[in-house]
Formats: sequence, structure tokens, C-alpha cells
Amino acid sequence: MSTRQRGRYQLALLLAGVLFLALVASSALDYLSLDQIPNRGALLGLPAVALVAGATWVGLRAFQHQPADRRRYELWAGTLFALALLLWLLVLDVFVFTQEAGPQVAALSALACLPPTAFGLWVVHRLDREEKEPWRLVLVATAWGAIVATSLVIWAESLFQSWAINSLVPGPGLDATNAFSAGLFEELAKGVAVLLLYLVMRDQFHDVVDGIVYGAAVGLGFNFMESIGYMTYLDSLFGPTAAGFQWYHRQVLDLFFGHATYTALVGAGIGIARQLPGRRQQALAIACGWLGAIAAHFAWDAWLTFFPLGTGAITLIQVHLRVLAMNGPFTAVVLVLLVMGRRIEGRNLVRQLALEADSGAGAVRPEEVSVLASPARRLRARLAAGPRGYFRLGRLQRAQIALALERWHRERDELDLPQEAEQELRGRILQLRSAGG
Amino acid sequence: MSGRPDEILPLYRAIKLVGALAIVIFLAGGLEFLSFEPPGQATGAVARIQGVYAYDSDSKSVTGRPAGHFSRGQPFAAVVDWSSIPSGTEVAARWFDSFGEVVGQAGPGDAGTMTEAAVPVALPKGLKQNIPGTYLFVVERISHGQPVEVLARRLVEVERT
Repeated sequence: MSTRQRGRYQLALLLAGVLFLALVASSALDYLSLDQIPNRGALLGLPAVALVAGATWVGLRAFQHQPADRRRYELWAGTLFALALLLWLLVLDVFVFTQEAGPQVAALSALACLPPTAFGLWVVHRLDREEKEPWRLVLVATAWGAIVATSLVIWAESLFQSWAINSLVPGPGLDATNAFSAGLFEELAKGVAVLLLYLVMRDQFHDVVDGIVYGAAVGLGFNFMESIGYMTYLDSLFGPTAAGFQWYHRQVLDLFFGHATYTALVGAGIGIARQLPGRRQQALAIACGWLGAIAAHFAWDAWLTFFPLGTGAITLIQVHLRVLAMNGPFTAVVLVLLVMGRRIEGRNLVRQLALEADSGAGAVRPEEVSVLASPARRLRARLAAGPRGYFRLGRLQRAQIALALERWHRERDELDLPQEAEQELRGRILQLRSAGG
Repeated sequence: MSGRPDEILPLYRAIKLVGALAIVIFLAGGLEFLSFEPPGQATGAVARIQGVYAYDSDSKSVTGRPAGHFSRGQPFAAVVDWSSIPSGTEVAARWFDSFGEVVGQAGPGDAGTMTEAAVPVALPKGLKQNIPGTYLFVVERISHGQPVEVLARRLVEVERT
């Protein structure tokens, strides 16, 4: 492990430790405030307890094995523990966010939010045309947004708002303070997922495009859980029409404009930092992305009242215009960064593919360069390969693009992996090619 | 960094611009905060809220003992001892529901001339019961038509059931 890698992992471990302590505190406060439903909570928490037991058992077994096997067991123990934590937080979230209207309305709200959120994820996943992020990481980011981030913020925001309401003059000043707390705590809680991916999964985090994809996925997850919370609450107060309107606003109108845009800004900053040489530049890029996200979120929450809604049919138009006017500019900024990032990535992909083809190593052939450089041509080539060849050629193309990206990062001195890793990748490509005949 | 160090620079500049825009937004937010929460307004004056009581809207009077929790169907009102505020002070009293909407008000006016025996919470339009959640009652000092200092505040809870 290189010094750079070790430093990143230590920072990630420190962050994970702090987050774990914050989640334990949040969980304890949830338990105290939800004391009227301990039995249901305990019952639904049992699978989480079983997973913790499993993690302990696998973790203990790790000590009985040689160092070579130990890492595999440790990985399993860590995964089981993370799953247990996620499950337990989900249980708490379900009670915290849905107790207003009962489980039936909560289940219906969740079902209604699933299709738009899934569509949002599909779109976000397709943003990176050259090398799509693995679904498992995109879904981990979404789960973080839905479960971990919501658990992290609920008490921080509640305590801050309790202080504000007891200290400030009610009105726009108090509204602005509460808006700032929402922007600060929520963007910190969501953005830390992208930061952890940046620190730990460097080989799947290439540039600004990847940062935007992971950030938007976290935002969609957060929006999913928040939508359910608001829908159940409004249903309990005003009935299903209010819940339905909330669904439309958050899951249709605001799907890409709200949380997805805010956290995509965090991701953009982190993605740009991924390719900057100096620590100072990296820290500045990350801070600027984060500040942008907090400011965008703050502006929406604080200044919503400056766009009051009328009555009647005109309200429907006003609702749409309000989202477009207030969140639209920030979404446009994300799109501009995305387009700039895609151009840089695409340009370098073509250059590195051509260089690889010129090297004569056989991993990329000269006639393949133009095909690999274009997503549309890659698709046409896969379709032309027939049903059996489609997936085989897809694997080959992905490996070739991964090699080109690895070459790009190595040229820019952004890689921790030794030169042998590149050679191994070439070997794998040659294997895939020979397997295809 | 070897290779082409300048190709990321446009992105770096763009994200710095995002950071600068964020600072402008925070400054605007800070100005907004200061204009509605102006510093140096604390006079040290304190108003006395006698309590929050169940309210009979027919007789327009409070009943029973002061309470901190009410059911959704129970109207309630705050009783302020206006004489606890120095005469000549312009004041108002307001109720806010859990959405931050004003749902009851007395004043603004000179504390010496305020006569409202109770400040009730009004039902939101179209609703037959109060919205559940935390309600905030404040007695505020007004300056140039704007609330600038909270002289007293009280929180009550409207139960869900």
C-alpha cells in the first residue's frame, strides 16, 4: 500500500469513526423519543442484531486464518456490520419519518416514490457515457442518502432549531437561520458519502463526471426518504390530495432540481479535486463544491417566501416557475460542469486509446479506436455481435476503456496502482479477446 | 502533475466561481438576517405571560388552569399581563403554528393601551381542528413597524390525537 493510499484510508477510517459515534447518539435519541413503540422497534431490529452477531462470528474467524485469507474474512465481517447498521437505521427512519400516518400510508408513499427515484437513478447512471459507475456503488450512495444522511441530520437540525426558536425573533431572520441549518447539516451529511467514496474507491472515482453521478445518487436517496416523511405527515393533516401534491413536487418536479442538484455540486467539487495536483487546490475545490451545495439549499429554503403562490389554476404554473427560477440556475451549473468534464474525459479517452493502439501491445487495435471513442458506435458494435456476443463485447469494451482511463491517470500522476496493474489489465483484455474468438 | 496540467484548470476555475457565488449568497442571507434581527436592540424589558389556557370562543374568555399541551379540537389562548411592559413601548403578540404561519395576533400598539384579555389561536382556513405540533407564542417589541426584540415567549404542544 502506498503512502498516499494509507493516508486516505486513515482519513476515511477517522471519518467513519466520527460518523459511527454520531449515529449511535442519534439512535439513542431516537430510542428515547420513540419509547411508545419499543416492541415493534425491537422486532424489526432483530435482523440487524442477527447481522451484528454474524459479523462478530466472521470477524473472530478472521483471527484463525493466515494473513492471506484474513483480509477476505475481515471484508465479510465489515460488510455484514455495515448492512446491520444500515438496516437498524432504516428501522429507525421508518418510525421517525412515517409514524404520523401509520404503516399503510407509509408503504403506499414508498411505493409511489420508488418508480420516479428509480428513473432518476437510471438517468444519473447514464450521465457518464464513457465508463459507467458500478451499480453497487451508485446504490450504496443512494442508500447512504436515504438512510444514513437522514439519520445524521434529524437530531442536529432539531436541536439547532430548538435553540433558534428560543433565541431569535420569529420571522424572516429565524427562517433564514433555520434554512442555513438545513443547508449546512443536510449537505454535510450527504456529501460525506461522496467524500468517503473518493477516499476509498479511488479506482472507481475518475473525475468530475463520476463525482456528479455519485453526488446526484446520494441526493436522490435523501429525496426519496424525505418525500415519504413529508407525504405521510401531510396525509395525516390534510388527506391524500396534499400527499399527492407533495409527491408530484418532490418526485417529479423537484427530482433533479433539489437534493440531486445540491449533492451533485458537492460531488463536482470532489471530482475536480481528484485531478488536481496540490493539497491546497484539492481542499479549495472540495470546499467550493460544498459551499455551493449549502448555498443552493439555503437559497431555496430561505427565499421560497419571496415567490408566494396565488390561488386557482395559476398556482400550478407558479409552482413550476418557482422551481425553475430558484433551483434551475444551480442545476444549470451542474450541467455545465458535467459537459466540461465529459469533453475532457472524451478527448483524453480518444488520445489514450490511440496511444495504446500505437504501442502494438494488442489490447486496443487501431481499427477499434474510433468505435471505442463513441458510445453510439460501441452500442452498434455490441448489437452487431448478436445476443451472445453483446455481453462479451461489452466486457471487452469496458476493460479497454478502463485501460485508457488508467493510462490517462498515470500520465497525470494520479494513480496509486503500480505499473504492473496496467499490464494485468492488458492481459485481461487479451484473454477476453481470445475467449471471444 | 505531468502531462497536460492545464486541462483541468477551466473546471477548477468554474468550481471556484461556484464557491464565490456561494459566498455572495451567504452574504445576502447574512444581510437579511441582520435586517430582521438587528443587533443592539435588547432593552432588557420583559413581558409576563400569565399562561396559556383553554379558550371558549363564544364567551371569548379563557377557562381552567394554564397548560402546556392541548388536543387538536381544543381552542386555546395566551393571557398576557400588559402592565408588565413599560407604557410607551410599542408591542405585539403573535401565535405561530408548527409551519411557522401566524395563527393569532394582538396589536401592534402601545403596551399601555393594549386591552386584549386573551390572544387566541385561530383555526387555519378550511380546517376544523388545529394543526398538531409545537406552537410558539411571542410578545414582541416593535420598532419602525418591525418586530425587533422578543419580550416573552411560550411554547405549547398540540397533540396529534
